[in-house]
Amino acid sequence: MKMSHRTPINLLLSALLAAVVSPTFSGCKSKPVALTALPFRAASPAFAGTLMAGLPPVGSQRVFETTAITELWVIARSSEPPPASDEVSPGSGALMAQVEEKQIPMPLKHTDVRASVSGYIGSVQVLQQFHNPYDTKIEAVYVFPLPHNAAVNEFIMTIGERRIRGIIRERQEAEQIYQAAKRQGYVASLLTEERPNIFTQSVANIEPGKAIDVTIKYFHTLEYVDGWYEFVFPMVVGPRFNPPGMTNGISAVPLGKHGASGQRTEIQYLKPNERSGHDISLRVDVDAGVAIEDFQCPTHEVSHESPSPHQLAVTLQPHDTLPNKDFVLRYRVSGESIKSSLLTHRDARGGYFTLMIYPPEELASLTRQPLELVFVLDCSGSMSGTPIAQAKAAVERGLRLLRPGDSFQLINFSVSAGQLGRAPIEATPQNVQRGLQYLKSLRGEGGTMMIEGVKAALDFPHDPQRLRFVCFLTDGYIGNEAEILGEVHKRLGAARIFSFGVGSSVNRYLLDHMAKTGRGAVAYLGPRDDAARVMEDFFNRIGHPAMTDLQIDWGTMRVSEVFPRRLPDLFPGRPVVVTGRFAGEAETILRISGRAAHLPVSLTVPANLTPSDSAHTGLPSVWARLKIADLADESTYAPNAELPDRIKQVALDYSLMSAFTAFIAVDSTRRSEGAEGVTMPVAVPVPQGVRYDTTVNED
Amino acid sequence: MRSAFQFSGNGPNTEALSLAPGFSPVIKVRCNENRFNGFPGGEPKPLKRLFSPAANHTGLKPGANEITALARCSSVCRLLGLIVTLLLSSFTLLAQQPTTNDVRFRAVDIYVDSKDKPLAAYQLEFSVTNGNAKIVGIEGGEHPAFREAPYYDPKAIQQERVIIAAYSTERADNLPRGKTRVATVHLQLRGTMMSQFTVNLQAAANEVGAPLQLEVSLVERTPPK
Repeated sequence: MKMSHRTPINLLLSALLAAVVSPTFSGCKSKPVALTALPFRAASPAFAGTLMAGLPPVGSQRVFETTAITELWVIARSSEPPPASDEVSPGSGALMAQVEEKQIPMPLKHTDVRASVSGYIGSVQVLQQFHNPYDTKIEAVYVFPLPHNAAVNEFIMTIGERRIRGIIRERQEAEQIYQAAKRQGYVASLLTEERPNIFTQSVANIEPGKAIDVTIKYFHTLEYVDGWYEFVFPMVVGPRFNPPGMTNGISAVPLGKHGASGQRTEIQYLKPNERSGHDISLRVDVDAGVAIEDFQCPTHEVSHESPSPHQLAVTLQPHDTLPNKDFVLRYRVSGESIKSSLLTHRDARGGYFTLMIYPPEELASLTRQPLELVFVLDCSGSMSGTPIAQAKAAVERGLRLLRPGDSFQLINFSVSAGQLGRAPIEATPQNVQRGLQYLKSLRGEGGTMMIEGVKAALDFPHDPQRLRFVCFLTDGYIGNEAEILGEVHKRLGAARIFSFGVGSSVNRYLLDHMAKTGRGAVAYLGPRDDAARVMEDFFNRIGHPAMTDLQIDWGTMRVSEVFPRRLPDLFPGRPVVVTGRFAGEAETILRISGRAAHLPVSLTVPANLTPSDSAHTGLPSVWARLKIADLADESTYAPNAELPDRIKQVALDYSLMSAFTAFIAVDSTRRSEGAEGVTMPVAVPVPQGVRYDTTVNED
Repeated sequence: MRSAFQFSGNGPNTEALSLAPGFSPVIKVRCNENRFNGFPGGEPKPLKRLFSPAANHTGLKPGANEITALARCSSVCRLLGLIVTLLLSSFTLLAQQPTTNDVRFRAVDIYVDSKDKPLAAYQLEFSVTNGNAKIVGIEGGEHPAFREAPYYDPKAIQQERVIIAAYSTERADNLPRGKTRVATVHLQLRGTMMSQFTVNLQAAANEVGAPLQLEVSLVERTPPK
């Protein structure tokens, strides 16, 4: 019974009825129900002891017996702490364990990724296959990553042969629809955005033994780094640290500890010896338009085929399907073919373009000014092990590459910040040795108060004789990204920020936006990468002056709403991508001008705006996603009550995910039996190289 | 399934009303005209007063009309009876009338009939005309050529309209002919009003791109139990 008019008589009645009719009326949720796994591939002996923790058994359910698991732990630890640089070097370890894997049944069975790259725009379809391996109805909740620049514009729920297209709606409205459908027993799915690169998929009322697929589609632009195009698909969200007092963060909790952290979004992590059975398949088809010279996949085992010189198809090998690290595919096209270029698209809404500006070759012949280089190392618990070893190796190489006349500073942060000296010191051989000793003493432990690192790196007087470059080396596993980006914007001054993402599955949204806000560039240092080489590439980049004060003369092209609003500096090896709307149909010449080492530099790009059949249908979505990102960035440094509405309207007009919109799909043709299902979060492995014990709070 | 329906209000003074949502609508007409001369009336007639304590209107001095204990008991019983009646009537009304917060889900099938011609493409507009329904999903059709969930116009859907379009490049032999369900619109309905929908065909073509004349109809599915 529902009450709408809360008159005293109705209140009296409702109270009476609550007391007499329904014991669950006064705020009680549905009766707790224990889950039992249905017959499952590699049925789980550990299931009864983990998922069912805290849930009383009901009736004559089947419970799998736990069998003894042989574990052999060989722990070697000296009485003195080992030198920092030897803490854990890549590929080695002081802790060796031979552990039998436990199979934990999970509602997410498989993820299939199909990507198609044309030019430098990728179109990706992600299929998530949910099923119910238990004997009671469930709601599956899966927190998963996507690229932070992904323009998610399609959502389809598949039940058997039936495909239901999800509708983009205001987030709160979509959540209410989902809750109503869930309460009434309808199969429904909801996709929400927690961060630009973290999403939550909820699927309600999956009946025992049934399966429901959800397909998400998105567009994004590929990065171009030092001659290589880079396609990235993230597979797992890393465990985040949330500063005290925060409640809308992303938190890491152990399996079965739902609600333990008090944060809005929780990710349950499997222990190192647990496996969920969730695996992933992936295929990328590239049509570069010009000959592909070379490709590499530094993260996974892949097979490949090349149907033509400008085409490449890469498929993940069946034995490398554990989704615990980013998939990275790089390919290089013929050197002569790399030129600044313009892509356009028109539809009923108007014209859209994206312009990729490559640095002119003459930059490479100019030499740089002296530098004031500030290395900022994340020494928190999540960096413990391989990540901090990689970061230290990179900084060590950086210190050795400094030239006379440069100065440097070393800053480390975890729960607080520390530094080598009160101010940057001259890069003399003695000081470099001092720096190396300091570096050696650093270890990964404690929380991630990145704000302290940002303050320490940017809050000291600028030396006008030197260019200040601040290098952040971190995995970015924090939940307060907006606060960090706001502080960077506020304190940047004349500095440039270069962020280095260290690890197998880092927070690329934070690292990219730190570099973007800091008008620098980003680089990634995976567990298998050569840390010294990554730092050498960085020094090659900053070893020549950037093209600054960029301006574009658009000719007869009438442009509007161009992003980024402020053009960044153009560093060697790093093109700048500009996206916007346009009008005009004539052929024209775009002139890009700027300065390098105080000298004027310019380049031209021909633009053919005549309507043609060649359509880049993803461009409107890519542009709209950039506009949303621009508005969201603005909200970090200049909060404005109108910004959420503006973001929401763009997202609704272009059918895009955002923080204020969500996709909802309901199958209204059938109601499932019984009460609301039990909510089952999908637990995931910690990213490769990240230690469970230092990042997931067991308490 | 219920039979096809398509209806709309007859004027500003009408609205669709159903005490049993999902079943035959009843057209409620607001009669606020003078019943004697037929002219439009003014303010609605006030409700009748249900209860008037007689003791307050005797005009007698206090003490002159004191009642006996039995009568007092009778009066208390009458008062209690009245409260019980009010409580019961309130309960009955609440139980019978779904409130404006009542939320339910329904599916509406969209059929097109191309007679003996193969259907290769269509575009149509489906609208919710009385504003108490939200579109919560769009499902593909029954024929394999149109099984994929059709695309919709994101701007239109903000007004609870969907402009759905789909096409198939299959050969004529593999395209549907005659009456076929091309889409199902899933809706969330609120309140007691019977929902009203319309559908308009905007374009349709056969396998060589020639325009087709189609019959379009809507069928609301029987609510699931």
